[in-house]
Amino acid sequence: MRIILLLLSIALVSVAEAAEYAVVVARNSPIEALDSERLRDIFLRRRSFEGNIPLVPVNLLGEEAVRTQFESQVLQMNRGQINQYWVTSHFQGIKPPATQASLQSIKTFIERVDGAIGYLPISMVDDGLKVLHEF
Amino acid sequence: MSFKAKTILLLILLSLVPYVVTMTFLGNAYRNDVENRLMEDMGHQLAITIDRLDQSLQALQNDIEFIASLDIMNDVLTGDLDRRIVNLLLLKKDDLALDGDFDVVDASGLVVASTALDSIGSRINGEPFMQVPLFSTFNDDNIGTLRVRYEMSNLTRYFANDDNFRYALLVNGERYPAQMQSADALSVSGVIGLRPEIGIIFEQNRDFAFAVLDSFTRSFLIALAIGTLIISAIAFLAASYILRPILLLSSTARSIYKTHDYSQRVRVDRSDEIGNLASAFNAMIQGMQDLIARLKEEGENRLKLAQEKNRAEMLQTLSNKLSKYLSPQIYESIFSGERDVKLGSSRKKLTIFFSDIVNFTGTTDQMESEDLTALLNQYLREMTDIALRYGATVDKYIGDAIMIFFGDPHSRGVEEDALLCVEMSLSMQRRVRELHREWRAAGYTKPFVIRVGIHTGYCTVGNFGTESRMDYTIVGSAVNLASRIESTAEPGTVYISEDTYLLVREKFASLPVSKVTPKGISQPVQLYKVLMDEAAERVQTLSQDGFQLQYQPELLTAESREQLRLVLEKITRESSS
Repeated sequence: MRIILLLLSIALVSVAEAAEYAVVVARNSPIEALDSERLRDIFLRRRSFEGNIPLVPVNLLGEEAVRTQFESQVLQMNRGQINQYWVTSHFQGIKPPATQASLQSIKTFIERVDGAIGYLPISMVDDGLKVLHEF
Repeated sequence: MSFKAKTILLLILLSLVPYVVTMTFLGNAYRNDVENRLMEDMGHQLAITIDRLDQSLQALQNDIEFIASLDIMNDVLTGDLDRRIVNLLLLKKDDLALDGDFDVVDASGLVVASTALDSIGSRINGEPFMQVPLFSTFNDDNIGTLRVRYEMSNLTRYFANDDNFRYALLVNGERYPAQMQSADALSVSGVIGLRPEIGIIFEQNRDFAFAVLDSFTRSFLIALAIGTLIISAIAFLAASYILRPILLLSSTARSIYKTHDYSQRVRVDRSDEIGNLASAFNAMIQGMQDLIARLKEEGENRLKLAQEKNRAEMLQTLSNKLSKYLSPQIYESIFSGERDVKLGSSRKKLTIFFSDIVNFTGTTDQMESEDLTALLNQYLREMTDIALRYGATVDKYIGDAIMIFFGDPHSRGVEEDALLCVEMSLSMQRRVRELHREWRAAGYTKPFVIRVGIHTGYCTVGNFGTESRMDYTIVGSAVNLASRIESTAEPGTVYISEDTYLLVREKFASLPVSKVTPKGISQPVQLYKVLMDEAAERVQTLSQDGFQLQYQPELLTAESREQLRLVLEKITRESSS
């Protein structure tokens, strides 16, 4: 277990050093780029539109590295804070983003759902996607 | 049908009809009531079952609505790449033990996820049993449908069917579970509230439903049968009790009819109406017996009377016939009982008369026998009539001769008998003369002329012959003498013997004619001819104290007659002095 944690921390360090993940939308999306703050608003469901375009943020289910990284780097919140945030928001009628169980399904989701916005390892980005932000 | 059978039947009917009617009515009413109650109960049970099925369906509906609302359904958009929907549906199917499948279809109609894994990726067709739309959790877009393929077994599993109770669903004319509908069953039906197109039927075997009632009915019928037997027996006994005296009456009446024994009686051991009937019957038979006895007695009396009458009539007829053969005096004497019809005789002094037709054979030779018979019969009849008129006893007819006597059976005295006899004879002669004219007028040229002989003397008179054949007649020499006198007499005259003459000379003029000597008598007998009519008138008689003088007046002058009278007076005086 300790070895796994060690390896994991090494990996995180190495990711921090070079951007491994990207926030992506479908290729045909009119959105070209979004900064971290805008991304945070979108993923915390404070903002639903970019311009006239409705946005559908999608999270990777579980505690995969890419989500942890996204939460810490982009949302700048740990899981405890996030959970706290959604408990509060729940009472205000704000529900957390949709989730998908795998990176592949996130990719498919983004490709198929108008306004979908999600994060993926850069390695998975292909012609169908457009990178708005890397982290 | 006999009255007894009718009575028994009537009694049974009277006993059973109200019983049967009441029980049948109550039985029917009770059966209807039981059926109503059973149907009501079944209705309640059906309602409970429907409620349960409703709940089941409602739960299913709720389940799929809940599933449809889950975020996970967003995976429809990714084609359920992570098989999260499939896994969830499989879990749910398992959880619900669903006979059927869940299908999740995306907006384009493609099966994205299904508990029937084979159908994933295929296009769905047909209407599902139940479906809910899927909306994305992020923008409420319709992203597909969650459909339920549903077998009716999901519902029928709630049915605890057995031989007696059966639930069935009726969907589009199909019956679930597939089984024949019982023709004879109590049945209630309804529809499932959530799915009105699903009909539900609840049936109960009628035999089972009414088993208790049928058992009761059977017991009732057995009781009824036993009751009927008992009632029949009682009815039989009652009818026998009621009818026994009547049957006894009937048999007694028949016995009386057959045996004619009217002494038979019916035993009366009751004081009711039938007892009264029996008493009345006995009284009637007693009356009949008395009546018959009386009738019998009367009948016998009448028969006796009739027999006697017959006998009397017969005797009368017989005697009337006999009277033709007997002289009325003899006849009356015999039939009045004055004289016994027995052999026997007595001596009497009688006046005997004989007559016959002069030269009868010569006279009648030339005649036809019919004419002769008619003439003879007329003659005899006329003579007989005259004889009877004078009270004579016609003894017999001897061919054309007639034998008559006076003095028996009735005598007016010897002298009177002789007078009557002579007078009768003269009448006969006169009548014969009258008949001459008639016969001549009738064409008979040679009329009968008769002669008569009369004698008065002692005869033996009585019944002569044997016990079986006897003849009432007279015998004796006087009879022979009378006959002799007759044969001596001139035609058309009446000759009398001296004995007679002495008796009648006062009345009848007679002339002495000749003497005859009968056989066995030594002295000749002087005969007299009785003068008739003009001849008699021509003779005058002078009688004076023992003398009598007859003379013909035309031969004497008045002077001569006076002298004759004086002579007679003188003779009388001399003789008396």
